[in-house]
Amino acid sequence: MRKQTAYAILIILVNVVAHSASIQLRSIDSLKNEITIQQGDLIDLEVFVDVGEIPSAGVETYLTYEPGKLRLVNNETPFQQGKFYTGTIVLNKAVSQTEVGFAVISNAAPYPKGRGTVAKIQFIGRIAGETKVTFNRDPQTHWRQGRYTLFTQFKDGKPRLRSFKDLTDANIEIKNTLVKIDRYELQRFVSENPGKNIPLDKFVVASGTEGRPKLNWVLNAEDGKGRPRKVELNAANQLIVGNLLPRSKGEVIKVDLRVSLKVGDSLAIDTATLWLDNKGIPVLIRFPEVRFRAGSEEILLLDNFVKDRDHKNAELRWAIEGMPAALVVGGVSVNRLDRTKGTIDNPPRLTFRSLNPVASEQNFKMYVTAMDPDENFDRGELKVTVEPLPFVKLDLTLPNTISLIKNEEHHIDLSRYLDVEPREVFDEIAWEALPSEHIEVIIKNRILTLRPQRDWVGTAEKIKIVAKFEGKKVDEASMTVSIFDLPEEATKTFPVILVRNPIIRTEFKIVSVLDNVAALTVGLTFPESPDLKPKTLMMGKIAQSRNVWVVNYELEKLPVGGVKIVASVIGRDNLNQNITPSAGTFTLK
Amino acid sequence: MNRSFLLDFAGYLFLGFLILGIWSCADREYNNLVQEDVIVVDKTTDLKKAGKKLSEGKVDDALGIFNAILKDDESNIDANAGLASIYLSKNQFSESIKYGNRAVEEADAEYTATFNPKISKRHIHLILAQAYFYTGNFNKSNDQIRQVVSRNVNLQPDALAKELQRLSR
Repeated sequence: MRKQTAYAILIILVNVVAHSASIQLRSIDSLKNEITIQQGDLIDLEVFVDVGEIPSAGVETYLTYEPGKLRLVNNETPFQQGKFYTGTIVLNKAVSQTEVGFAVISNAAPYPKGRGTVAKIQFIGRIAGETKVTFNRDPQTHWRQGRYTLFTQFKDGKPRLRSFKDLTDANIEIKNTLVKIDRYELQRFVSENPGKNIPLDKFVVASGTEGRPKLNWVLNAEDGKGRPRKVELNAANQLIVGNLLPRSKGEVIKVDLRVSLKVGDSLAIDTATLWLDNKGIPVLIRFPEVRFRAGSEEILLLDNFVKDRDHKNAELRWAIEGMPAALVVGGVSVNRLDRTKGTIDNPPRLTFRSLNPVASEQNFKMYVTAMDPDENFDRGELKVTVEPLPFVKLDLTLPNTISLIKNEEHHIDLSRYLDVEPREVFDEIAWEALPSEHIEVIIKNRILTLRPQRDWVGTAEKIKIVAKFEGKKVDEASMTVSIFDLPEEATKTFPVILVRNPIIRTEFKIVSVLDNVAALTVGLTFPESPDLKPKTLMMGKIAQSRNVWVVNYELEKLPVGGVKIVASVIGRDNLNQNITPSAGTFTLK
Repeated sequence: MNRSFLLDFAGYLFLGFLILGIWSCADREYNNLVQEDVIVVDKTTDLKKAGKKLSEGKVDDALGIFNAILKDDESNIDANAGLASIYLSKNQFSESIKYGNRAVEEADAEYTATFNPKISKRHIHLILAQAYFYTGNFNKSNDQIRQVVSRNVNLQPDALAKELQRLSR
């Protein structure tokens, strides 16, 4: 009891004079008592005193810490002497498992006064959490243990022990080292900034550090088929996207990200996966099925079936793969179409036309590719269907009878006698002719040529002409051909008249006036003009007349000196009997 | 009787005033007539070009030139005559008759074609005679023959054809 009373008196005595002195434990870096460090990081603390204006000869301080959370860097001599007291260090050691002590005494004047650093001490943060390093100040426990923090102050020329009025401990927060990739924001950046480099550091949240830590990245990329792709970072830790993007629609590039942050002994790691697709790829809209009939054509305007965010349609290049040989495919200009590659110049449109008529519906499949200047492309399937022509009609009608002059060919334009629908297939008609004994029949380029045997004259030679379309549709017609000899002038039985055009002197008409006639044919020969070939013409009856027959003819030019024309008219009467031919001779000048 | 005379008298009086009125109006119109400038476009070059085309057998070229001339001058005798002959050669007889009649109306007795001085009004009549013949209108064909031969003829088709042959030889 007496002892306790003595302590109380001492403390009262010490406190009375130490009201203005303070001591604090603070960070050397921040000079603050509230300290945040990272797990594994060093904590540099200093013991800082303010003894006021009265000189002090020494200090003795004891600090208590939690060894589980803080590790003392130097167990032998925990403190380094500060500049405030330059005297002798009489204590510098760990005094228990949780306490360290430091004492210094100045032996000679001048004694320090005011403020200054007494000592420095280093700890290492061990486990995340909050902890304190405190001054021993309990007047009962610490004083009794002899581990009480105090200093000396001169009074009456002698140093007296004093307690500090203010003791400020160090509050320490030890943070876990943590890195975390903000996956959502990262992917959003990729979506909203197609083609731009990705500043990876911006999407990492690092805790437990002060300032911007140095992040280490490890990246791996592969395409949709698992093939590795080269991936690069620039100096600013930006993922270089340009060459990494896929080139075609539907492809994605998978990039595995691994970020690490090492601080002291602490290593934090996070991983994420990033998916890159290419928004700049031209996207082909599904092509409609192109359907058209043989003989017609169909046009596909390609601009209507593509969208590209970063290029105009005119900048796109188009190509066709698997172009069927049976189809004619053209761009706007056939001359600019490279048929070997199926490349089409702008403006891009495809014109399809079938080479041949088809017997049944035929389907073709090809692939159209649109590529932009960055070589991004999309490929779409295009189906083309060629429908057969609906066959309406094939009708061949030839004159039943025809009269020719001896040794003269006769030509008939078959297109005038064949009624075919659709007309476009006319060129596909196959012709056959069954010749007679004395008349050769030739069909070439729509023209039927009847060539009588030399000097043969006779009647009722029957020939047959057959028109076929793809062996399906067939029609045929027969003609009875009679060959007459040229009549002599003396045998003229009816007038054969030549009427010239009053102004166009090369044009004339042969006129005959004869009753009861069913058909008349005139043969023109030019006996004195070997350059002019004989001609056989069918005469026609003029309107409102029963007996006037006429046909016109025009010479290309009138030969110098004129031309002699022999017009021989033959024919049949209404009873289908041959009439006696007649002839006329004329000279045109 | 008197009543009838009065009516007749009133009628004569009204007729007199009407004639007077018409005469005085005509007088005023005449006094106010404005002299119009007539722009004469020389088609000689075009006509000669058409004549050359005809002689070369380029009938369609000549047809284009004649039509172009008629756009500016519908009554051009040469162009009408030329077209009449072209349509005759093409067996388009109604067109030939249309242009032939236009030409023959405008041409006087002394007419000769600019594109071919050998062509006279007689040739236009002959074109019409032929065109009417080929349409089966033998009466009108005879009418045109009469203009050419200056005689009253009425030929049957066979004789008419022979006469056409003779006249256009």
